[in-house]
Amino acid sequence: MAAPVSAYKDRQFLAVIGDEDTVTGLLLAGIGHVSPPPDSQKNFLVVNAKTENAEIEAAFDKYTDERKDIAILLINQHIADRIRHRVETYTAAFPSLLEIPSKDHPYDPEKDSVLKRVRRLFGE
Amino acid sequence: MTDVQASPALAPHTIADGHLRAGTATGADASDRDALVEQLDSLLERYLNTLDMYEKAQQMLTSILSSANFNNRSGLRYGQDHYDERMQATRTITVAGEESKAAFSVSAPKDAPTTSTVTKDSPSANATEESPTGDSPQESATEPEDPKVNNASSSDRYSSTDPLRWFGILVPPALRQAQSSFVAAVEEPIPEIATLIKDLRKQEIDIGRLRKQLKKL
Repeated sequence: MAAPVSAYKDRQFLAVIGDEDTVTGLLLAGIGHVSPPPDSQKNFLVVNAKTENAEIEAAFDKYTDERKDIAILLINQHIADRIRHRVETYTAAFPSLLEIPSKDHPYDPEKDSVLKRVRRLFGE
Repeated sequence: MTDVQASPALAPHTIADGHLRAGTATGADASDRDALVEQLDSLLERYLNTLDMYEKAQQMLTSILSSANFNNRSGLRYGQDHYDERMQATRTITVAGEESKAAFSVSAPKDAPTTSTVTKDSPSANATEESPTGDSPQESATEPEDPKVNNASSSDRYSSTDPLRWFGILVPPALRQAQSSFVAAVEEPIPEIATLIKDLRKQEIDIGRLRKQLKKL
């Protein structure tokens, strides 16, 4: 039932889908990684007002499904709102999905999918 | 003969729930039930404790990130236009333990940016400070040979893996402040929250399983 150890021991990177200030801050902390050319895969997506939801979803799929080297996916909560159905139905063991606040959008427990699950657990 | 006839009727019941023995002894059922309720209580208590830790870690992260506000007064943007496309992660995650109760931790090599950022801003001070790290294995591993970069700048420009360098040598103090805040966030609350989320998930499954067992009684 449990995945073999090798399935997640290679997961060593953080990935981030966030606004520019959040991504810049996290890259300053040294989490940014671009794989060698020719594919030059980034582990971050900067989302701005012009970014389409489809692009956010594609990045979400890439970091949660395609890539096997991501341990934790960070996503700004206000961006997670834009693909809320995807975030809430995400159940895979790895990568771990974390909603984080941003400068302009403080953490809102009402929206947190972890706390939504808690309410469901006690609401039954 | 009667036994043989009785057993197929009971079989689905007993197989479905290992705690039920032939479905007759009501006293045993009651004590089983009590034991399960007690178990559920302690699971819920543990769950609430973990939840409390989760909420505290989220609050900590919120306070760290809100102090990471980068108020840029210079009119220059410090954003993705400055990112170095050849960046290599200096802070990486280590996953320990089994899948269901994995623990995340962040490891950083010695030359990764730290919370105590260097305050010296003069180029000469930086140059002397970095020369010993110039031939570190980290640097050679992360710097593929790039013929397009001329020698004079390559030794200086990439002698440090500090991403602050993407934004030039004289960066505003607020950007350094933002860096140290984000380093603090990545080092502590983020791996902690990731671990707690996993723990909560596992406990939710355990609680759901136990509730199902109770319903069957």
